[in-house]
Amino acid sequence: MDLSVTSHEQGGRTVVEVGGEIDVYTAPVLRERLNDLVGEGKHHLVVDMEKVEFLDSTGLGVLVGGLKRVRSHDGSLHLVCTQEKILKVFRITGLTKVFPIHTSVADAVAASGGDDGA
Amino acid sequence: MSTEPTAGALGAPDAAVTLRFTPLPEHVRTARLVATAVARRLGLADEQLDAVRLAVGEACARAVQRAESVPGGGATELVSLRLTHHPVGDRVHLEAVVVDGAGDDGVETEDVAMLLMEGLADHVLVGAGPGGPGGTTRLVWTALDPVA
Repeated sequence: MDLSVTSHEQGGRTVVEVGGEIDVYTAPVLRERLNDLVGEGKHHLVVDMEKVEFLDSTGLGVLVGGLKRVRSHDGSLHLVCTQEKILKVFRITGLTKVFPIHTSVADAVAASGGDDGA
Repeated sequence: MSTEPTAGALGAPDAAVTLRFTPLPEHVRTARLVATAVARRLGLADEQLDAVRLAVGEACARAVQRAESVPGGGATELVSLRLTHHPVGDRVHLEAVVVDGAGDDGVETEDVAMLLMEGLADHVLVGAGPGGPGGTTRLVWTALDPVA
């Protein structure tokens, strides 16, 4: 499996660090992890994509599904991404309008209403 | 994987690489690696290389999803990915054709997957395959620009 998913709490938000390739094979693992977190009551997620090497439409589908899920609990899902090749995937599909995308975890935590530690 | 010549646009043979794989999600990555290797061999810049990798991956993922949706445990016919290219002046014409054996399963290609393929390739054509409508995805790049 060429996907890693870990999570930790930061400033009252749950930061999900994703690494490797998110594709038709690995996307179900990410979907399950996000569902588990929401099930545990983590409704404000920051998904850190900085170590993602590849993202396809099934990966986008999982992120959109996660967004819908947290929103149904009045939660939020923010992304951290500065890699041009990954940003391009969001841009082509128009999803830059759907997801708040930040350049650092601290920015994402602060923007989602968490405590950025400042 | 096999290589064999086919008739090119101007009579010269296209260079070709063909991969056939069981329609399982884990093999889509293998298909991407093959497409990436061909694109890298052509000397494409990183941005074009990423576009070929992602678009071919989308086409192969589409084939796998179509096969999986066939009632009774899914279609087992191998999916084929055929990459052909020929020079056009200083540039390169590249085509990727993905064919699956699934019939007309009524599965619409996901809008996001189509958007991505259309955003990354110059032309995207979905046509019939051996099993029925929708079984062929053709991606065309008409003038890729090698840098090396």
